[in-house]
Amino acid sequence: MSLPEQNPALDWVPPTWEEIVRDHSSRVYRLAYRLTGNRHDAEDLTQDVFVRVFRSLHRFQPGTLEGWLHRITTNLFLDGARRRQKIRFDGLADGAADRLASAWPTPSEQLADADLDHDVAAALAALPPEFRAAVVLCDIEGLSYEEIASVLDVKIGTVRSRIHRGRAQLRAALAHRQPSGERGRYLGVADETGRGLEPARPG
Amino acid sequence: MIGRPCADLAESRSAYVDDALGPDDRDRLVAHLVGCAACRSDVDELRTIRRLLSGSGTQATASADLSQRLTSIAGPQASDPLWTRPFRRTSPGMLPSERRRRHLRLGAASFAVGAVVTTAVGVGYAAAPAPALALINDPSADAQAEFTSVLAQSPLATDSIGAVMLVGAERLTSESGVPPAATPRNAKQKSSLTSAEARGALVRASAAAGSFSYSGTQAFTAVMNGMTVSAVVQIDSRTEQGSQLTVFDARGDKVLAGYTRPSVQSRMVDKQLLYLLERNYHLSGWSGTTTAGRPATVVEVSSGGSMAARWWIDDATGLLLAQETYDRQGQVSLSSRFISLRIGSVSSILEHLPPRLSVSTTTSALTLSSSPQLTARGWSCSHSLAGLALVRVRTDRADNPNLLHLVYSDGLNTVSVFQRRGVLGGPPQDAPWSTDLGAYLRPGTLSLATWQSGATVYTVITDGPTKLLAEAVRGLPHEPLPSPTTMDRVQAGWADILSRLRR
Repeated sequence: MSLPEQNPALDWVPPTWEEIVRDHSSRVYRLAYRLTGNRHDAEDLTQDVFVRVFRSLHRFQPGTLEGWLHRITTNLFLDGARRRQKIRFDGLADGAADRLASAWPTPSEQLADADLDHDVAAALAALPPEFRAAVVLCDIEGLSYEEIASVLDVKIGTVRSRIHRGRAQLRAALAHRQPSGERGRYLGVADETGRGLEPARPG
Repeated sequence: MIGRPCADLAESRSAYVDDALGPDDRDRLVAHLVGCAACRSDVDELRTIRRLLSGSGTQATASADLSQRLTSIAGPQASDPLWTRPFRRTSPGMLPSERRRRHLRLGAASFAVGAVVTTAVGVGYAAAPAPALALINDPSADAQAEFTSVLAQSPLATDSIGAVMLVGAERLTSESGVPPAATPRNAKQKSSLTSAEARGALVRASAAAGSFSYSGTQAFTAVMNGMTVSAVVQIDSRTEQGSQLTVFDARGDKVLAGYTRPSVQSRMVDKQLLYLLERNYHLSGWSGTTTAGRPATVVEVSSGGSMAARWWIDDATGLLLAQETYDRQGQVSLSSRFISLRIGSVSSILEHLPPRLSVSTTTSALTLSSSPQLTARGWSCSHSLAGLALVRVRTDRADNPNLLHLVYSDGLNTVSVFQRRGVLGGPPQDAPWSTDLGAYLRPGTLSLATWQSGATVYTVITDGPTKLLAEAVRGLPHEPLPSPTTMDRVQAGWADILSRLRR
């Protein structure tokens, strides 16, 4: 991955748009899918992201393409989620809520999710958008807290708090999957005790 | 059963599962987990949740249809190289952060404000003029002049009193002088006056002052600190023109000659003095007596059974023929009476105007209601002092005074308080420091005290007893001279700059 040249700008061969789509569309789509919870919304979100990328490539800061894509994706998702919440709230008065398409995955869409158990997908979809974005970036995309803070443009403490609260809700929704208390406790003791007895790691 | 996991560590446990704790926090949590089964169980559950999410979801790919749609965003240029900066660098890049930008803007703004304030303070400090407090070397002369002009305007004081007060008491003192004795009540008095009749006589005397011409000679005697002060004063008083006064000492040498302007009639002040006199003293008197060869009425004021003063009022004109004031033991402390008098005979104008006896430094009389404003500006201006009421407020300038003269009176005794912005240069002549009062003290016909309080020099003069002076001095502030703070200096600097700009 790392390039050996001293000055990357000199050896830089600009990619074509086709190459950018090829290399990054899957990553963006996967994140969009986890955030929105269904294929249809994920495709729409992915398209919106790439439209935005194409328009603002000239403003792009070197060295940050993945983070940039993450940010555009989560920002567009959060914007859309807030807008839908607002419409629902405003529409309640005249009974328009029923006529609006639900933002959340229907049961059939959840069943169609091959990669995530549908109860997990449903629990994730039930999280408030901010919590869902933090949990998805952390647990599914595997970003560090620092990276998440940079993508969401919030403080590390906020990231930590959102992940904690999102996870607490997930746990409550998925309580039926927890191992029996006795077994879990036994495993936990063995695991943590083993770690605790290790000598302190340097640094 | 396992208890509830420790609530205060909930966020730490979640971060621990993500390996996002700093080494110290991590060690602390691990040490806690060893001894806390509930927290261990909680960590285990969190791990399960994390596994449920991360173990899956990596196979989803964009459909071919979506890829097509995405490629078409660029239109026909999709296969051309893009104009863009390098995607990779040797050092990791940072995403632009609106949050950080806000902080930077805030920081820049506070820095700019700080720089402006610092500059303003620096400029003000550098531009500060030398300490603005004027040096006041001897406030007693001005204060005395002011006081005598007040006395001269008092309808109930004879002409000689003001003139003699101007002469230093030591020049008129004679050990051989005979202490004056109280004029005995004449046995052949006709009738006693009621308090209302006595008041009427005083009103008549105050209305008569300055309304006709007369000339004559007054003998003046006063006792202070066991010394007798005596003088003879020649008076030539013309209506509308004022009085020419000549003071001779006991040996007949002329010590002072001068001119006083006609008293400015202020019915308000006169009325107030009479009112105060009536309130503080008991008025009585008798008619049918004779002094300087003229039929007169005597008005006596007393307080608590001991007499305080007597006035002899000419029956024909209302002129004050004589005056005596008494100390608490009933001994005469001041006596002034006409030895000879001619009334109305001189009608020609004075040939030349001799030097004015006293020139007051205050020019602007304020109403008593201005005292709250003066107090707000840092002057001492209470409505009463040592039991005397405020009767007059005078300043050098009405708008932003530098000098304030307050007159307190009970109708008989007068206390003048002078306040002048500045620093006392040194003690006035013949005024030793009194640690008891915290002021330089000069006894005399007019006793005087002066001291520094804050940025103001106070001078108190009274014709009353020493005890009254002490009471008045104690009733006024005694504060240390303020050393100017940096902020004062900056303010002074800017005030100076602004006043120069306005010019």
